[in-house]
Amino acid sequence: MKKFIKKTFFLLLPILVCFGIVEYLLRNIPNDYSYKNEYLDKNAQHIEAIFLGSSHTYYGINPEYFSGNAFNASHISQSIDLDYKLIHKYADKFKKLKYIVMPIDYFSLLGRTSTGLESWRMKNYNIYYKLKASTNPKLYLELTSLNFKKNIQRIAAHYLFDKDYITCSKLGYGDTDITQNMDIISNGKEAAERHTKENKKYLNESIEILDKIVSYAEDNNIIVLFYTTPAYYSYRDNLDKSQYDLMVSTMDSISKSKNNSYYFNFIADKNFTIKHFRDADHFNKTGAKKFTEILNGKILEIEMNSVLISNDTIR
Amino acid sequence: MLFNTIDFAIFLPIVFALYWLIDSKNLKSQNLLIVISSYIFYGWWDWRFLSLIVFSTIVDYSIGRKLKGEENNIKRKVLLWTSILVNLGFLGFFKYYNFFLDNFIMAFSFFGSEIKPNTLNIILPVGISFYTFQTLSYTIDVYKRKLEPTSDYIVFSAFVSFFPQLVAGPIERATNLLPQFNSRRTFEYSKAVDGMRQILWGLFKKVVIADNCAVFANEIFNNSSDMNGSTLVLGAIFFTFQIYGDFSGYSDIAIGTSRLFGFNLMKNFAFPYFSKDIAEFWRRWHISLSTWFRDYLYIPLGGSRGSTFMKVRNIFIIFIVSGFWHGANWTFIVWGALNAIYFLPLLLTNKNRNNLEIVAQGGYIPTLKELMQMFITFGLTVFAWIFFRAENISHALSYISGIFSVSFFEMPEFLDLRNALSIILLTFVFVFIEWYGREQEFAIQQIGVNWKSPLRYLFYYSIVMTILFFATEEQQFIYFQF
Repeated sequence: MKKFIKKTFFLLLPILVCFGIVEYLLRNIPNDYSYKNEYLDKNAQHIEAIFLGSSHTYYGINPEYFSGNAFNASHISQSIDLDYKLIHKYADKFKKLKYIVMPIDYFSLLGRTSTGLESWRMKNYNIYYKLKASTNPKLYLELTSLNFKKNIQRIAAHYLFDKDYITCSKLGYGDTDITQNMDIISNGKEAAERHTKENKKYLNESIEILDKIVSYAEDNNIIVLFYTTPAYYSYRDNLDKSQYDLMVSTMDSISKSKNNSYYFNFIADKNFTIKHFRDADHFNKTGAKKFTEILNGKILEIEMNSVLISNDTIR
Repeated sequence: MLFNTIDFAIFLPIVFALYWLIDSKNLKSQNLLIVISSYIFYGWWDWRFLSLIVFSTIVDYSIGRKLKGEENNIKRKVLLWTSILVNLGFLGFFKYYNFFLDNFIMAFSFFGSEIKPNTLNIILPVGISFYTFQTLSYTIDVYKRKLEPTSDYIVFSAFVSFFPQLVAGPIERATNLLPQFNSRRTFEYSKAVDGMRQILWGLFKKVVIADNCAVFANEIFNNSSDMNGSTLVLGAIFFTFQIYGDFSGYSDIAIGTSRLFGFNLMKNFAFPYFSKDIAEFWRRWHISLSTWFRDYLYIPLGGSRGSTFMKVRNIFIIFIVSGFWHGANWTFIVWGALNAIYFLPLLLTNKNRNNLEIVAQGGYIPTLKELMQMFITFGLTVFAWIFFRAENISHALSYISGIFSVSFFEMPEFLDLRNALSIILLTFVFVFIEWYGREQEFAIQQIGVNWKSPLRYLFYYSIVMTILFFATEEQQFIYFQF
């Protein structure tokens, strides 16, 4: 028995050592998650507006065009439970935060990062944000979250060819413009189908999460601005009406229940044409600039109104 | 819990350590540990279905005990049929309810009657076909007085739920496995090392061969209407290796894991793709199921005795039942029937036991005749697998008509040609290793055993590295759904 354990141990030891080295190397490749975590650790106290959400925000909001000190803390496929966890993590550090800006899109209330094809992304929240966002032990190691071949390719690309895995700007915006030959009509249909959820099991939990965010904001004099991102007609026209109506009615009721929350539905905003989109439901750089400016305008409007209301109250 | 997951990689050493830490003289504790760890293993997937295993265990244990003291033949038959009805009742409900209902509805609508469907959204409990057959073998053997029923409930629970083979076999006979729970197990170094080697080879088959072939087989079967004939042929061959790598890989891991705990499970695969005729193929493919059907269905029906009609009838019954065992779909039934058609000429001409030896035994290369025989048998098998893999009969037929078209002479098309070529190359290497080791229990059983340690370790590390490099996303084992 001892011989067996000893031999097995010595057989496995080099493999385990290799695994340890690979894990160390992978974790030391800078990426969007490690960058944003570090940025928030250092600068959370100065941030006035934080943008949360999924790829719609990541590619759609460029804080450079925002008038205040803002940061885009979104990531691809980031669902609202993770938005809340991020807010919760930095809650004590936000000293000047005035606005939480969150997209509530067609799929937001019914989907989670932790389920489905993108679930591997949970490792980033566990490893870099240290959120303990998942119960699956596999998602606490880089090595076990993606396949070995991809991991070795990442190590080689970064350490040998100096490839940069940070794809966002200094302020967190997804600063990459892909110009692919893409059929925006079929892309819209596919995306709409992908985002249509038959199962509504997350709805109540999502409402609870939004309530928690709004309550936290209310306690700290923060305004929460929910919005639905503009989308090209090929996406809009293929949405399931009942799921879409559910989103709108839920958001209307949440925003009306509290004075510090607002909901704007931009999905069919006529300001945006094909030249603003990289695909049917994501902006390109031009679209992101324009949309950030529109949101900035909305926030200034809200600010003006609140100033007027408070002046009236003083008089 | 899947064998090819981190969860199992953590679970196995813990159970192994606890098992051997318990004094091997303390059989009761060791058996209890097996039961607990088996329930954890199964419950990891869905704990609710543990109740089915527990219920099956209680029913068959009690019936076994009652059969022991019962001399009245009618009462004995009632007890046997109670066990059969309970076990097959569960299997029928969970696996076949919707199939029968759909077919009744179709039959009625054919005659002009409309029935409102009331199908249920039933989840198929993993491994139900396997443990049901295992417990049934116990009751039948006790009924036939071939086996003394056990009076130890823990031993019987361990026999029903033994985690290495609980969800996808080998389907063990009570006569082989049950006595092993009653006898003292001692740790044997050579047996454990052999087990580790078999686990490694099983993982290679599953992760490298099956999962990678699955990527291409799925792509081709799911888009078969857009593929040319030669690509469809390759798709069927990819599936042929996928199902072999998947299922025999599982069996290897199961048998290897059992060896670590001092158990010997029956052989489930014996290099079936090197068979020289279909009869030999069925003696080498899913042996535990084939022999189960032989002993508990074919022989009671009369086997190969009696008139030609009886022989034909019995062969069709066991092959069709075997097909239906795999799943509630007409494709499995046609697959079974097709194999019966392949098999019948051999049986009727008394040639079904011609090829009992290992091909080219003691040699390196087969004769031209043997090569041709293997090639034809392999071709027939590949053709039958098309029905097994297809979504439905019309899909299978359109797939086959796609093969037999002019486009058969075009070059195969792949989205990822480089990857496809690397998998084809790996499959060739795999076939070569399997050929080299075909006289052993598993292909790498003797490879490197007499080599010097560094060379032997290098061999094992190269297998581990290949597994790591070719690992795709975790894929379930195909036979879990049966």
